[in-house]
Amino acid sequence: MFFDFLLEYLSIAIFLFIALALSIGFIAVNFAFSPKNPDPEKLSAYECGFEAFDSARSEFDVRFYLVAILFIIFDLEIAFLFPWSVSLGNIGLLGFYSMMIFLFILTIGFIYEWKKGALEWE
Amino acid sequence: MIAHALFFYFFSVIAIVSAIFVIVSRNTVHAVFFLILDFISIACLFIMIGAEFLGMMMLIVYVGAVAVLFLFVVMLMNVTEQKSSWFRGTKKSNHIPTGLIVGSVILLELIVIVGGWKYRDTFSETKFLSFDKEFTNTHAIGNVMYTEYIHLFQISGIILLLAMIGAIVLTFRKREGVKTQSYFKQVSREREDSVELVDVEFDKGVKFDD
Repeated sequence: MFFDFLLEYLSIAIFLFIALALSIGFIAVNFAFSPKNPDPEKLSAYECGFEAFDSARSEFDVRFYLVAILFIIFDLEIAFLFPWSVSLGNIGLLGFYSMMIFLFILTIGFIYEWKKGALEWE
Repeated sequence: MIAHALFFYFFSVIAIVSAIFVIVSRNTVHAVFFLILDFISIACLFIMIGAEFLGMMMLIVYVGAVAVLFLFVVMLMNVTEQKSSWFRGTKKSNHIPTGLIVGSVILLELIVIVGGWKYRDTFSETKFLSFDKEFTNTHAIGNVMYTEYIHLFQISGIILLLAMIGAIVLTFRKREGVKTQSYFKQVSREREDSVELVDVEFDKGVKFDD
């Protein structure tokens, strides 16, 4: 039967629904039972005594982006390695060497970024 | 069967609703989070048609990496502020004509695609991937991707290399005047280079740095 393997995911689905119900439940209970009596003084900033100067979402350094995109590339490399390693017995020498060429191409890029110093923070 | 249908409708409703919210939410960071929710529900749909490997890869690559990249881009360009000023109409945007052109081209393409679509009577028979307990989705992909589709696989490798080099060329700047540790210099330093033993005569002292 086709759907049998989905039964293995049943525990994950139950977990998902419990998490969903709990998170929605907490928000709903707060929303329903919390006293709502707003006041300008209650809503104003009190912790340090002054209003915020600007938004807390300041601009990031562009180097975070560089690190993220280099991470994605090697993430994809690992994603390609998974099915290769599973079916390495069926695909013969051609499959083996095609992955070796792929890894070689990416290693060129890895050496380039290493030598360029893109992996060093400062 | 009915549980399967219920799960399918649950995940597809989440996918569609969150896709709509990606477009309509005014805060771009919220839009990215709705995009992540969309990716997760689509990964669940992939798993439900038997494409387990694709679903898991969707989670790893799109949710784990691409969504983080989108978040970085949103934070990097600080589009939250710009967007809200456009929406309030306080600032005129000059990107609207470009967006309209791109949007109408995509709409035309969608019309072409949907216009050629026909209902297949045999759809109910072939809607599931062939599934075998021994021969998994990962095997099926691995058996053809590295041999039959070797050219596409190598092209994807070249594209990844290009992306890596392009990101470095575009965003990497060498910062001047930064003091860094030189491991090679540090490790290859000998005792003779830095330590000197001096016999000190009584009541004379030692002369330094001459």
